[in-house]
Amino acid sequence: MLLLSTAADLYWLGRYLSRAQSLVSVLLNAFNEATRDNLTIPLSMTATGSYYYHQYSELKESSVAAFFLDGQNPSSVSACVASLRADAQATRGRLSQDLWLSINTLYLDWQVAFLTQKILLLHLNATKPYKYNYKN
Amino acid sequence: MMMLDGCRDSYQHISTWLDQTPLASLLFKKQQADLRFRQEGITFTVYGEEAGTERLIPFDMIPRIISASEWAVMAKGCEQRVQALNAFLHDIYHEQHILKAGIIPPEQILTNEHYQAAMQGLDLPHGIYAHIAGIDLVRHGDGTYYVLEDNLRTPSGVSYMLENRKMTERLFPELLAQHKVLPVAHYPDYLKATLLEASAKSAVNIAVLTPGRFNSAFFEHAFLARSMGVNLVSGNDLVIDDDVVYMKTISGLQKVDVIYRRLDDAFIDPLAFNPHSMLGVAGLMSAYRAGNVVLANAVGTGVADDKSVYPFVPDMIRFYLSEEPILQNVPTFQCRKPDELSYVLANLSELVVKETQGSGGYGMLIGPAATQAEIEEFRTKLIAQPAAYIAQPTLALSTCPTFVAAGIAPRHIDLRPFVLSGKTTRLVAGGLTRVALKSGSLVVNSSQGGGTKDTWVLAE
Repeated sequence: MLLLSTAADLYWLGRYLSRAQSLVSVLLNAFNEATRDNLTIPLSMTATGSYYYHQYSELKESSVAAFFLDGQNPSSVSACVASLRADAQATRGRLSQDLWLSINTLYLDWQVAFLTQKILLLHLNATKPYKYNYKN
Repeated sequence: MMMLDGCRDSYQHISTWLDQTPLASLLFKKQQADLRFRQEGITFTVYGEEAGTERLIPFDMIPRIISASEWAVMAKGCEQRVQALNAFLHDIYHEQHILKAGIIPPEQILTNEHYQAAMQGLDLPHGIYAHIAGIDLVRHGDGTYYVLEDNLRTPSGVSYMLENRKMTERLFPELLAQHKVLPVAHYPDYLKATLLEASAKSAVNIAVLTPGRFNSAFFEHAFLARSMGVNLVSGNDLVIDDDVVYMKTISGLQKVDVIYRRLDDAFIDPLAFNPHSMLGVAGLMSAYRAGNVVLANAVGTGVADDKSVYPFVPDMIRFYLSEEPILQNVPTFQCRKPDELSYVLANLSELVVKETQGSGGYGMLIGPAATQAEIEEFRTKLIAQPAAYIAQPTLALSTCPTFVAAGIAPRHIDLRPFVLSGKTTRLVAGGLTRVALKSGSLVVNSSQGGGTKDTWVLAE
């Protein structure tokens, strides 16, 4: 007897997970080869171009990275991870231990990585832009 | 663990193990345990901080051991006590014999804030009100266990009992193997059997009603629902039609017969109680009174676990069961009685004074640990509203070795066994041991920095 609310939450869990995945692969591609076109793809994909330019004057890697890591930005990867974890919590009665552990560990690791990146990004925005590698 | 003539028998192996294990190794294991708890999401949400800050309940790895003979007495005592409390609840919501017999003053019960007039005359299957009860016990210096408090509303902590055991199995399997420890993992099976028996019907659909994922005990609600294989619902998953409760599922409305509700009475039905509650379901009380759904625990059990009613529980055992209580109350002074009040006022520095409506360890005065100013402040409160307080002597509470910043040190503990009442009474061996992590502190509540331990009841 699957509850309607559980069905909805599970659906969204999947949607947010796949959204996060595609955003990350597009961002990695953009940072690998930081052309104007590549950097614009994540913005047009999420239709957040004008929102981006409200906050940042230039289209550069560090700013795009910060934009898609910002938890306050509902289209960011961080927001997707937070939402999918919230959906997993809500459906906890129905998920296997393994699935819950994977999602929760992703969320916790993300928070730690995000915090360290945030410090790094703050530093970056204060200096000139340069290429840096994201670790998976 | 220690007695004057050396280590207690049941702690022999633990004592040896502690002597032989370097603190650094214990610390490493502790860090592993904390990481595991966090990954599994065995946390509680702290109210009043930025939305949903999750904390770990400190878990102390050194187990607390109870001998088979000690447990036998505790189990029988808890069973007896819960039987009497259920009989009492049935009585005060029906004929009120105990009030007519003059054993408890009627106004203590009938004007009690938790006495639910809507429950009067309602017959419940098997006359059970508190299907799930948590009885808080403490062990005094004389080796006897006393009942500190009864919890008959939404007692929690059983999931920590179960997770702590799993953690010990993971961290110290060799230590566990040196003892014959009784299992606890079948608690969800017992709980399910109890909930099935709560209804008089044959085909019973159970749901666990939770206030939602921001509730501090949400982990436990989800854990128990999953372990029993029943649905975890919030208020908006339910709808009442024609006094029958339904769950909204993808195949349409499914009837619900028993609800293990982890909401307080006030929030379960905005039509009957708090009209601002978004957590409950409109019309639930009506369905309940029509006998179409059973709530575990029943509405209105709070009147029996109230600290002002606690002193009467031994009398309830005598009145309903014609037996002498197996477990004694902690000696309690009822400040509403003038002669007891004057004794309390004269000895405040030696007593623990509690609000009758308090919980979570708040609003208490611990005489021996209080400053003169705190004592005087409490004196004023007591004189202003004597009926709102009870007082108890500080017991020489037992301690258990605990891994703290300074190394291994004794800390005060209590025990909460969980008593399940259906057609029969069921208990798993042990319960939740809570430990006061501050040196000398007697406050074990998690909301005030207490921790938990694994509890081992030995098979012999």
